[in-house]
Amino acid sequence: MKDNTIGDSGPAQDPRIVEAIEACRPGSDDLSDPDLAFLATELAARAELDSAFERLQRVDGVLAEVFRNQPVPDGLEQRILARLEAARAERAEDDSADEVTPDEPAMPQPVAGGRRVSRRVLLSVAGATAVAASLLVAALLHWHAPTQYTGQDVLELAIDLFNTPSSDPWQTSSPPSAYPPSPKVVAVPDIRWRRVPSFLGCRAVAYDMSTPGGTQATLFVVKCPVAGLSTAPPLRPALMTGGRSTSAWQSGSLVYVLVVQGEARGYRRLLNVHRGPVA
Amino acid sequence: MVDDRAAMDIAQLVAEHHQAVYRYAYWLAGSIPDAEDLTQQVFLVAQQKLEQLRAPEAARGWLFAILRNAFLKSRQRHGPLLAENSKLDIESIPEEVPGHEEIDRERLGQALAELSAEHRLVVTMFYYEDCSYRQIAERLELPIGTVMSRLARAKGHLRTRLFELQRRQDTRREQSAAK
Repeated sequence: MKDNTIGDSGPAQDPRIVEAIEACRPGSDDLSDPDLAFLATELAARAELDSAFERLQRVDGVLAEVFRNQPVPDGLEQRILARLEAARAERAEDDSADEVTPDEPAMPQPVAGGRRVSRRVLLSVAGATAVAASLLVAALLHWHAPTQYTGQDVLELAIDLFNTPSSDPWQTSSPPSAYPPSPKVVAVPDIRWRRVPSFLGCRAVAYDMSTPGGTQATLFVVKCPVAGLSTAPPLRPALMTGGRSTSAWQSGSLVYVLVVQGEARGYRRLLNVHRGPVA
Repeated sequence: MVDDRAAMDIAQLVAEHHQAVYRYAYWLAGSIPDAEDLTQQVFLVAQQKLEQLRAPEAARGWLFAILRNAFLKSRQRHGPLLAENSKLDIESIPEEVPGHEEIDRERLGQALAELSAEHRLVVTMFYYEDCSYRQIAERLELPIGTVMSRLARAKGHLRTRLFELQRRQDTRREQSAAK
């Protein structure tokens, strides 16, 4: 292999020619593109340029083959289908949650045939209607102008939640499929979880990531628009404060926030991050 | 019934296209977990918007478009290292063209990861999707000149990273032979 300089000041260094050469796909008729006619003329006139062009076409053909033959991991299709199924189940769950739940106060029933309605009932209905209307307005406002939180907001709130004892006990049943733990943290068998009523106004689930050695840790999974998060947890915590190490990242519509008691070492132990391409 | 039908269609879409989407995602995302994540996101969006897909033969292009959007959205605030400072040249073309089995995939992945998201996307569309520079410009809604410039710089960068070691070794061998 040689250093294939084709003249430092020759046509090969002309950006227009270089870009045109690079734009031609291997095995294509791109050279017949009228906008590349000048290149065809140059190639016909300069044997060394033509030779470089031919070599580049072959190199590009090889690289294209490498791009198209990347191995695909085993079981990918099943994992995709499982995630789609989980998303459908979550949507169905959300739809049913939007209906009246047993915890919500029952709306007064319509009064049968011409019976007089008491003033108290009327006031209750009016009050409930006013509350519903204001909730609807708030929801519409939220819909039209969604709040975009920052990574710092998320980290600080996660630490607050981590530090505040929850009155809800950990659950040991199957966790909600639409809020799965991130594959970028270590897998915990029979992981415990609980719903977080509100995380920056969004739905969330907390997973207990505490280790057998006694290090307390929680992974929050939130459906919330957050600006500027990466798609993987950093190897060092993004925020270390008050004896807590934390970072946030996102995957699709989900934001993950890991809070670990202690310093970076305990935090790193909980990561399951493969960096760089593995063929 | 409608949901069952949708589930069946999305399952068919996954069966037919998940490998192509994953391979594309791999070269854009740069790692196996991120590629898998991105692939799953593509099919989640596809599931939500399945009614937009009118013709089955357009499915692959449609999924690829979803993939490109998801990739660019995820990388908006995390542009990597190299953007415009790659050399614009064709000096890195090896004299002897290697076979595809001789290409170091890991090195290729690292070289791609050094590019900005925009450069990576353009060069992946060229090599993986076999898009012409005009098609790239149309699909990304970019001026043709921008596409050609990004393509040339990105390709030059990949070759430099892939073949520089071999070139240095050859140069050393030639120098020692000359002595």
